[in-house]
Amino acid sequence: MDGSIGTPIPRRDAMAKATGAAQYAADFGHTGTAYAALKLSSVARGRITRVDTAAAEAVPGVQLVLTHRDMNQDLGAETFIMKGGHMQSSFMPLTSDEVHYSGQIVGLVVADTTEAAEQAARVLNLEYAAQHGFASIDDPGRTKNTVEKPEITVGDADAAMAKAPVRVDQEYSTPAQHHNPMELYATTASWNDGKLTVHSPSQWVMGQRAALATIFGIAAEEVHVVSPYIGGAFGCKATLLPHTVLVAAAARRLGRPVKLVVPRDAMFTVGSFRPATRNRIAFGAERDGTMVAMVHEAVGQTAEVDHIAFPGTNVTSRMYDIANIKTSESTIATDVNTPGFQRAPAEASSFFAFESAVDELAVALGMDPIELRIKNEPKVDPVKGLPWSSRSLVQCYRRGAELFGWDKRTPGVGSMQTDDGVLIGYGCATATYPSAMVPAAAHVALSADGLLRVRTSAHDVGTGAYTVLGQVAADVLGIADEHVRVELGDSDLPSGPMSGGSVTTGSAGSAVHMAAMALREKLLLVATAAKGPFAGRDPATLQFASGHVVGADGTAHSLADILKASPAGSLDASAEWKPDLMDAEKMQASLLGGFALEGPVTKTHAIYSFGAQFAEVRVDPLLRTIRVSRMVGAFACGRIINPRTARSNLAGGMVWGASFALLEQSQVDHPRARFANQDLAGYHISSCADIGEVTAEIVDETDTVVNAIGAKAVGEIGIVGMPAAIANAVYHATGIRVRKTPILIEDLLG
Amino acid sequence: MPDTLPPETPLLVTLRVNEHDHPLALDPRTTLLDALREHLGLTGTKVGCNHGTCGACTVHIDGRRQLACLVLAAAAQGRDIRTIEGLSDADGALHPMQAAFVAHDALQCGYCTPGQIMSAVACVTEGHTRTDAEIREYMSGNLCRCGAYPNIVAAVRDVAQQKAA
Repeated sequence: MDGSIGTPIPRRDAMAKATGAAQYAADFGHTGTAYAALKLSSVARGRITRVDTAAAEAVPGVQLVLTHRDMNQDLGAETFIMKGGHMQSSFMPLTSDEVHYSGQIVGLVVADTTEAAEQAARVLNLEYAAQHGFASIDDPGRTKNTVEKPEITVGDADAAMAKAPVRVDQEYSTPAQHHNPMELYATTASWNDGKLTVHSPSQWVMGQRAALATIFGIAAEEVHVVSPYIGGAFGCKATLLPHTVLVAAAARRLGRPVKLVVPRDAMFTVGSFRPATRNRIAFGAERDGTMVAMVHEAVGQTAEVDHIAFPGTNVTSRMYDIANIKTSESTIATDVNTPGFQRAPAEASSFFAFESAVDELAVALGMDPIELRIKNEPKVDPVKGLPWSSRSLVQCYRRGAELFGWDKRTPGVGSMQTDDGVLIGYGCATATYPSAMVPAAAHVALSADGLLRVRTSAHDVGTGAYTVLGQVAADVLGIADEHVRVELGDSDLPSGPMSGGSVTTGSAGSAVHMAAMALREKLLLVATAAKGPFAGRDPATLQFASGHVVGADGTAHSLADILKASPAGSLDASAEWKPDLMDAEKMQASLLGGFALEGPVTKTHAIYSFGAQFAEVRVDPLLRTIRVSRMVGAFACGRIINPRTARSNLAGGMVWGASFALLEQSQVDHPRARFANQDLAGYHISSCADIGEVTAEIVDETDTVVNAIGAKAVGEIGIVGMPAAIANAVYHATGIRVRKTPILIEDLLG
Repeated sequence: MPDTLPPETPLLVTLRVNEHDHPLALDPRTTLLDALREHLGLTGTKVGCNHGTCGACTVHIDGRRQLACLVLAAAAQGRDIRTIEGLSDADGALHPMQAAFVAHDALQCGYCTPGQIMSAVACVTEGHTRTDAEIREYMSGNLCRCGAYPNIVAAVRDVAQQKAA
């Protein structure tokens, strides 16, 4: 099958996944494996005062009990990702007697069987001197810490707001949420001749490799991180998590492989989560709908042990053509595990607020909410005055409205009903996601058997990277899809980027493209050399198609024939790609497992994907149950390598958005300062029955700035506008403006 | 469970999985899920919660869909267990439901997929496929965090229609 760019070929890994053959981290077998279990703190804050391991050690089959008493000399220093390291947090469990949050790892037990390890962890007896903790930003006495630097000021927002004839000014809140990928965190670590092999689901095998090398004091080449399949990540598998370090340390002590599968309840505290937010959004506008001022004050939850913020102000400030903008950011520290990246970390929460506020402004103006947005479409980035690399938001609104049937909407609240009185609401919202770029390396090889191998340590977290990265190379070389093999998710491969920030296709794809172009040049050299089948021809006249090189006169020779003319009978090429404006030193640091981004705002351009999202909700007039019956999203993300995997990814993001709007919240047990609903029975995510029709439409767009293949961000934009679109639809159906998520039945009782 | 239970004496169990008998010596507390994954190397069946809330470990026991994490291996003795590895033909041809999941792109990360497919096969056998709403309801015991639900419904509908034709 033609596997070139733009062809909707089936997912390359679909067969392996549908047959159960795809191996995830916990699926790899190791001879002599011992099993680990975690002991988590039962208090939120304090110190461990007593450790009694006798009962745990007495459990038959127990090999090792680790607490803070046993660990602290073992580990080299690594750091939090926001401080230039690779870790999920600045705080490493088992390095002291301190307890900073409920569910902190306070012990690790290893036994011959998983049953014995779990039993021993249960009877491992720890006593604490507990202090009162706070796990919610709404708890009394929590203070805001203002972040000075990222404030954005354009014009004079206060003065313009004061003069504006139409104003809206509201606060919106979102709760803590957890990623809850279906695959649990899992680590198997084994040591062989001083070398460490780790099977762990990872969005960043190169980062994990670098961190583990530092921690265990060995060379990076002596660490092998293997993660060919990842069972959902959404940000929670981007950094190195502490349990992986502890499992590797235990395996070294015991001299045998150790495997840990983290239980679902522990998933809420041993990794990161999406922090709670409060966003104040104010708009001032002329009566004709011209926006004149915008204020965005973002408040986000962080942990006592770390400062991390996802305010979204640098994105909301770029949405509309507003001459007076003021933003501020602050955080509130709580006694919880360090928050982190969760699908559209800054955008999803802030856009629920921001795009709800735009809808409130449309209501205040008596304007159609789409026309209000289009009226304020900015020609350049409103903050820096830079041109967009591409921005097709208006086209997205026009196409989305057509698909959704927006023209059938009657604007009056409650004006649309089914025959049996169910209230229908239509809502819309803008989505965007920054297209940052990360350096990447790739290797491509064409062997005598006709197979093209594409290798880079990027990751397919369900996004389609196995498929699209192969298509990028196949497109350059005119090779059919069935002759393409792609290897990802292994730290022994050429360095790929962290699969975060929707960078994989653009960044790893550009490296693959560069390597394939280099291989193409080599093939042309061989083909036109003295002994080549096209001896003496001008390489510029030759084309690659259907596994052949074709001359201007129609003469065709297969790639296999051309390889026969090469000295080795095969050819390969490597490439290291970096964003245009990045310096080479930064690229090299990044390729070694550092983290370097270019964009989304560069010296020359503002680079973002855009989309318009629509929701139809149905609200029962008496029971006030809310159903999302239809969702439509129209997205412009530059060049789409595979429309099939891109649509699935975008649609999946929209399902996340529905889940965000109506279901998801990590509830806080205030007296105990902990997350209370730590399982999938209590933490609700969308099930099949919750999701109606979903349409993810791709709007054609050409972007010649973003990178060599013209691909912008796809992976996260799908969630961004959906919560506000649903909240706006709920308002349209009921006249009730709910300024928090999840929107629940009790919010609509009026 | 009392913490004094001595697991030194393993329990001898024979599990019939995908039409093969497997004699095993297990800790009596071993779940069917762990027996399949850790003792038989049948890792196609996934662990997602160990509490019966996600459906990732769905297998067929005597032809009915069940959650392997909620069944003790000892209780599965003498029953006919089928996992995702036993769904294709002996010659390796995909089951129609597996083919439909591939054709409709009804998977992304793929982790819930074996459980979804085992559930979907049973859903069709049960006849719970008369409408899309019914498919959605009867496929709601299998969570998919990637949100592939619309394509999963399309795959199940497709196979149900093939069967009816």
